[in-house]
Amino acid sequence: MSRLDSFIRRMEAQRACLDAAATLITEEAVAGPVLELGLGNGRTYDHLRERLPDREIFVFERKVAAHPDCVPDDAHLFLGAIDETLPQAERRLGRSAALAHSDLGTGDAAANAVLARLIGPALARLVRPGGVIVSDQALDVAGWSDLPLPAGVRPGRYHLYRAV
Amino acid sequence: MADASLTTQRDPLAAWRKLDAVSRMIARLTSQKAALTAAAERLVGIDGMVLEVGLGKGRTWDLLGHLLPERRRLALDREVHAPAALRPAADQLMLGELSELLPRLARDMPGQVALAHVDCGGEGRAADAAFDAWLPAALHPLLAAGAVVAQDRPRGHPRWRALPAPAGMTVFPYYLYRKDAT
Repeated sequence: MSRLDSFIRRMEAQRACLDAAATLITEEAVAGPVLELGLGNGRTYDHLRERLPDREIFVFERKVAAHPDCVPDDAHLFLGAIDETLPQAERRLGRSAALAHSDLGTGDAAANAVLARLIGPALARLVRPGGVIVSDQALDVAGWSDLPLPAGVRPGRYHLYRAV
Repeated sequence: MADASLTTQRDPLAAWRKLDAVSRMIARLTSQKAALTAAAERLVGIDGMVLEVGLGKGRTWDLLGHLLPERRRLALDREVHAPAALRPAADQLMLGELSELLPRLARDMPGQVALAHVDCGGEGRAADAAFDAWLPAALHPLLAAGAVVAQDRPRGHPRWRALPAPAGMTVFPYYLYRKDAT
């Protein structure tokens, strides 16, 4: 498969999972803000704010490089290393988030594993019971349950969990 | 009285601009794939190389390698932004300004390109009328008879015929042309 094909499929999977998560928290009236771990070029942030216009979205980013149209205001930006900003968010927001999306993985499998061990427990302390977690990495958190992936998303390509 | 039709010229990207950033990207890349796949299928019996005008992230460069593995490929760009795995080999890449590269290629390898893909717009860049007017004439001498040109903008040439939009095109339009066979 060409890189163009795999990139299209990855983005379609990402969009389908975000839409499924947004639908769940909307239909089930799960209150709380949205957490976006990794702003990147701001595409999924843009998608989330379009899909969930009434929710606050807090973004975690080491160094902002997105198009200015896709950057949140300072009050909604946790700027810095994720191992420092997640505890900051915990102090400020508590366990209140309805949806968290993490897209911090790279091509480095060892680094991704370290990241997953950091992010999983941190999100368990930030996402409220009934909230939904969408992640590019598999997260092994006690008590979370797997949610079914939307049609067309290959298992393992993206991950959907329910916090309990 | 002012002619209303002059002031209400339709923006071909109007529907696309209304999408969110993820959906815009998916639409653009899906159209690229549809256009390049259709272009590759039209090259039967036409000898020549593949010219990528604008390498960018290297994704369509990679697709062209999958679609046309037996053809020589050459990429042109100002600088390389593609990740290492998608970077063309040294003899497949020419860096510089198109205003210098295309005339040089027209001199060194006239009529040797069977498929040219022109993707110089990206997502954000505003239409550059001067570039759009200049490019077809600069590209034309490189093309083999019957060559196919796939573009992110409608840049026509008197000796090119517009081909119908291929199946699979999204709200992001792509444009296919064929150079006259004679």
